Amino acid sequence: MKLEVNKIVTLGNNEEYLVIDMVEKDNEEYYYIAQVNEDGTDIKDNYKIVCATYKNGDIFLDEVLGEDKLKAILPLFVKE
Amino acid sequence: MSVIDENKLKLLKMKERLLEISFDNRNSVLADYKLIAMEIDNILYKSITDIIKSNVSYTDKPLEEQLELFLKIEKEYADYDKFQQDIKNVCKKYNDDVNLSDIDSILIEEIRKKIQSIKKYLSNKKNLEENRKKLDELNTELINEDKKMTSFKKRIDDMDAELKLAVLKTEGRIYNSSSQIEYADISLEADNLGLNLRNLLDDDSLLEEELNKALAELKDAEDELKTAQICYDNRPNINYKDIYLSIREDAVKKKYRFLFLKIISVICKHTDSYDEAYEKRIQLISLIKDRSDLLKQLNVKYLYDPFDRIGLKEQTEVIVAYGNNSSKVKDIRKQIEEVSSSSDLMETENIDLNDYLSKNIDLIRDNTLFKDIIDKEKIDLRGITYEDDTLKRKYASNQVVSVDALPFHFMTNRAKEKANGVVNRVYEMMFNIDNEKTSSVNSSSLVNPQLVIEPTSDNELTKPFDSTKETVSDNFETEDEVFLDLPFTIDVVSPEEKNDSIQEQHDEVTTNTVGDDISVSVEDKQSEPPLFQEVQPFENISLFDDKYDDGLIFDNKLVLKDDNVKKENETKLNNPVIQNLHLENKENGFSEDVMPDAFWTVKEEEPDLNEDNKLSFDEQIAALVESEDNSKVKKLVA
Repeated sequence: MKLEVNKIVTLGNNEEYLVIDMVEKDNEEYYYIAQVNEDGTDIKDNYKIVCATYKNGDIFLDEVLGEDKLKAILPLFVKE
Repeated sequence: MSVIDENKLKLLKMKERLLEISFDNRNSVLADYKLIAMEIDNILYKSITDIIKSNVSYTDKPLEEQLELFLKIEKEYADYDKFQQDIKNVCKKYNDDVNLSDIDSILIEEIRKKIQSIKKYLSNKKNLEENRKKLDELNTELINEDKKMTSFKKRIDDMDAELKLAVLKTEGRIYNSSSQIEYADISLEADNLGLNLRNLLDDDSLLEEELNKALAELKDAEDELKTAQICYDNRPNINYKDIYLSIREDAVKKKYRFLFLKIISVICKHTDSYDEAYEKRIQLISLIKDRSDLLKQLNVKYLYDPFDRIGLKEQTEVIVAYGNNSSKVKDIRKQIEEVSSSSDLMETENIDLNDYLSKNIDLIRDNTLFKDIIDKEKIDLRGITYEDDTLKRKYASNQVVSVDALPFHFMTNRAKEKANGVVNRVYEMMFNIDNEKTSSVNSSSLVNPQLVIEPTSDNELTKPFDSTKETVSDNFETEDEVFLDLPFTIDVVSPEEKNDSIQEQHDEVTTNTVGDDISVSVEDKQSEPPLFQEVQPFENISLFDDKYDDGLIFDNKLVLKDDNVKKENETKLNNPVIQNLHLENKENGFSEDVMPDAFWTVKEEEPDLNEDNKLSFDEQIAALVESEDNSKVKKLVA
């Protein structure tokens, strides 16, 4: 199982997210994800910036919290 | 019950006798009796079960040993069963009961079945061996008889051939009509009958044909004779008698001819067995005798009849001497079949028995419960936990369960565009929010002064620009500065509070205070690149009409700093013609302000960043503030 852009990840709480973008910083993987709507055709207005951690073959996505941290990561997702 | 101590048995017996005679302490005696009985019972039970348990893999032993073992167990069981019955009977006699070992746990029926099966198997095995021997004998006998038969068959063939030869070669003597003895043989006899003996002996089909013909003629003659007989009987006269006699003689001749051919036919017949050979000779003897009788009727008399000299009697004796072993062979074959069938049955039975006997069937019913094993083995149940795999498989709320491809109907482009728009706006909003928080008019903290345009409380933005309005103050504080009133406020704010470390990064920050107004010029010389996209203030920006793009705007005043333009305009104002015009119309309120725009010198126009050149100045400002695409403003926000 590998996280990839333009894929849909399903979390343990059964929520589905579209992986919009991925950046790496300081050996960490950050993903910009958006929750998929019930129809599975589009996204809802629920966006997250998460950091992927790997443990025993499982993947966990932890939201980036904190203004300072977001300021450091968010710009990496901004497109010209 | 050799395992039992004799004394114990004696004691038991004694207690039993005591029971009969004791009345007062019967209960006590009975209790003792029962105790002893149970003790003996336990020993007996254990003895049998120990034997069984110590021979769990009894199928490894030869069948004979197993049989011995099972017979022993059966015997002990029988004795034990009797013992228990005796004890129960004694107790029952005194209206009591006793708890003895569970004899039924010993599966005696299985043991007995084993015994029977082993006995049967061994018996079959023995019988099979005997049958094998018998079969060997019978087969040997059969072989011998077959040899005899083969030999006899050959002898018969020889005798048949001899007979044929004898028919051809044997001589006789016959009386002729003159009663003289003449040479006679069977060939001559055949010739007299119009037959060729050699041809008849060599050609079966010819022989058969002649025989059939002779038979037919005989029948005709016999019919004719019957008729003649009837006629003669009806009219017995000489004529009819002669006719009758003639017919009768003819019939006899026909019969004689037929008999001759019949004899030859039987001589030529091939025989294959004792019976056939014997029957053939007997028949020939009879036919030859009939022939002789007929010959007498025909007044033919043999001194030596050749047919009597072909050796029929001798051959018959030889045949009888050989004996008829066909029945014997038949009998032997029958015996062989019977023995073989019997062997087949026993072998089949033994196969099934072997299957059964090879199974290690339990001979004791084991009533142990699971909890008994736990108790017996003293298994410590503490610390044993149950790990539910389903729990392990429960996912954390933030755990990735699956990663799937987008369904074909997913509006990917739209979603990404929306998402990217959001992140961009958040990014912009994030840093806008930071500017508001940290704004402070502190000269020492000013870093990267920014421009924020806000409408005035008068909301002069809605009003078109009034060129008649005094835009140039008479109060020039400096020659280099010209202030214009504008319908909005413009503040200089700092995006973030400057700290000492940042201050050090700036080579020069100068402030010129003019009263309460502050004009600021900043040279941003940060050594490190900013964390975010930085746009230098006023870079490539023409907020206002190009006339005013050379200066900083502060507090409704546009400070013009283009010396050449200013000088030129001043020159124009000082033009004597303009001055005269001014003086002449001063009373009418003439001032430089009313001079047409064409009068004033303006700076060469640079590209107008206001894309819609048709908009008025106020309209441009209003559009910029209200437009979502206020990139020009935002470029100042860095």
